[in-house]
Amino acid sequence: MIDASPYGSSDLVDGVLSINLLATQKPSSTELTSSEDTYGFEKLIRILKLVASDEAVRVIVLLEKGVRSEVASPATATTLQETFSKFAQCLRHMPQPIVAMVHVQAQAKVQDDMKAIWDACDIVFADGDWATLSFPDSALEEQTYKLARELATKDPLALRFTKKTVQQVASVAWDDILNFTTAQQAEIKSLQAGGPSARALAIESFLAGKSKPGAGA
Amino acid sequence: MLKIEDTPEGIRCIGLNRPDKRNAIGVEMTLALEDVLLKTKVDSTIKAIVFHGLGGHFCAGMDMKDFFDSSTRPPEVLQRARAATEHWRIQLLRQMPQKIFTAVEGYCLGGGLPILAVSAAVIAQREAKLGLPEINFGFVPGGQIVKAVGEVMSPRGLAYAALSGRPFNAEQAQRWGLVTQVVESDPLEHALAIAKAS
Repeated sequence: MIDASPYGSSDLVDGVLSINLLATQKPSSTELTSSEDTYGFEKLIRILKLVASDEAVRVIVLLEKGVRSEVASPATATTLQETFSKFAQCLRHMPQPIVAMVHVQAQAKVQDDMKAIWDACDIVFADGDWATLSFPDSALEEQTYKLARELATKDPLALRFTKKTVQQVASVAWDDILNFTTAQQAEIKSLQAGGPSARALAIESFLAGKSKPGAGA
Repeated sequence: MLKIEDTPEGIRCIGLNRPDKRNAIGVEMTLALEDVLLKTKVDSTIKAIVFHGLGGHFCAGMDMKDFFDSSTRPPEVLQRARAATEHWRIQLLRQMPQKIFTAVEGYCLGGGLPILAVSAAVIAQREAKLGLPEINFGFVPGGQIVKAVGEVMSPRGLAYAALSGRPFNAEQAQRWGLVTQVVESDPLEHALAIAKAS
C-alpha cells in the first residue's frame, strides 16, 4: 500500500480502484481540478504511476461518471492529443487489469478523443455494440463491478502475468513461445517463493473434487 | 482415446474419445494425437481432417490429474507426454497440409482451443461453452495457447476470456472470431458437409 494514498478510500474497495475521468467535476474522487491544462490527465498519469506499484489495487475500473465540462481546455489541440496518447500508453503499461465502463450514448461528442483511451483498456463494457460485452445502460454499472470484484478475488500474480501474456504473445515468434512460457513460470515461481500458492491450493481442491474451476466455479 | 474414421471422400474424422472425463486431454490422448497427426501429415489419401468430441463435449482442456498428480505415471512418461503435447499443438497442427474443420459441442476449454485456432471452420452447437479457465486455478494460461487463440480471436475477447476465466457461449465465440458458425443440431454433420465441399 502506498504510504500517502493519492486516492480517497471510497475509490478503492476490495481491491477495485475506480478512476472517474470526469473527476474534474467530482473532486472528491481523485481530486483532479479543472485548472489542469489537459482536463486533469497529467495528474492522472502521475497517479497511475503510483497505482502500478500498489499491491492493494488488484483491478482498475475506468469510467466517466458525471457531466463533461463544456469549458475548453487552455491547452492546444496538439498538447491535448499528446496527453491523451501518453495517458493511453500509461494505461497499457499498468500491471493490473483495467475494465472500462463506457456510456456510449453520453460519449457522442468525445468518442473520437476518448477512443485511444478505451482501446488501451483490457476489457470494455459499454451500452453500445463495439465493446467486449454490451449491456443496457441500466445494467452496465452492476455488470462492470460484478466482473471487477470477481477479478479482484483471483490470484494477483496470476492476474498480472495473464495480462502480460495476452499483451505480449502476438509479438513472440512461434519458435520462442515455449521459452516465453517457461520464463514467465520461472518469474512467477520466484515471486511466489515463501508465500502461499493459490495455484497449489486450487489444484489440490480440484483433485479432491471440491471445485470445478474449468466451469468457472 | 481417439476414435479415428476415414470417409470414402478422404476425410479423416478424429474424435476425442474420453467421455467420462469430458474428453480432457490426458497422457494417452496427447500421445495418440501426436501419433495420428504425424501419420496424417504424410498420408496423401487424406484431404481434410474433422475434429470432434464424443459423449456431448468437445474437450475439457488438459487433464489436471494426469499432468499434475505425479503419482499417476512414471516421470519419464509424463515428460514424454508434455513433449508430445507441445509438439502437436505448437508445430504439427500448424504444419498439416490438409484443411482442418472442427465440430464443437458441450465444453471446449483451455488446451482444446488450439485445435479451433488452426481450423478453416469451427462449427459450434448453440449450447457449447468455451473458455480459458486457467486463471481460476491460479494459473497463467500458457503462451502457446494464448498465442494460438489470439491469432483468430479479437484481442478484447481474448483478454476477457483469459482474465476472467468465465466460460462464454458459442454466439459470443462467433462474435469474437473463434467460431465460424453456430448451429442448433449436430455440429459434426455440418463440419463434415463443409469438409466434403471444400
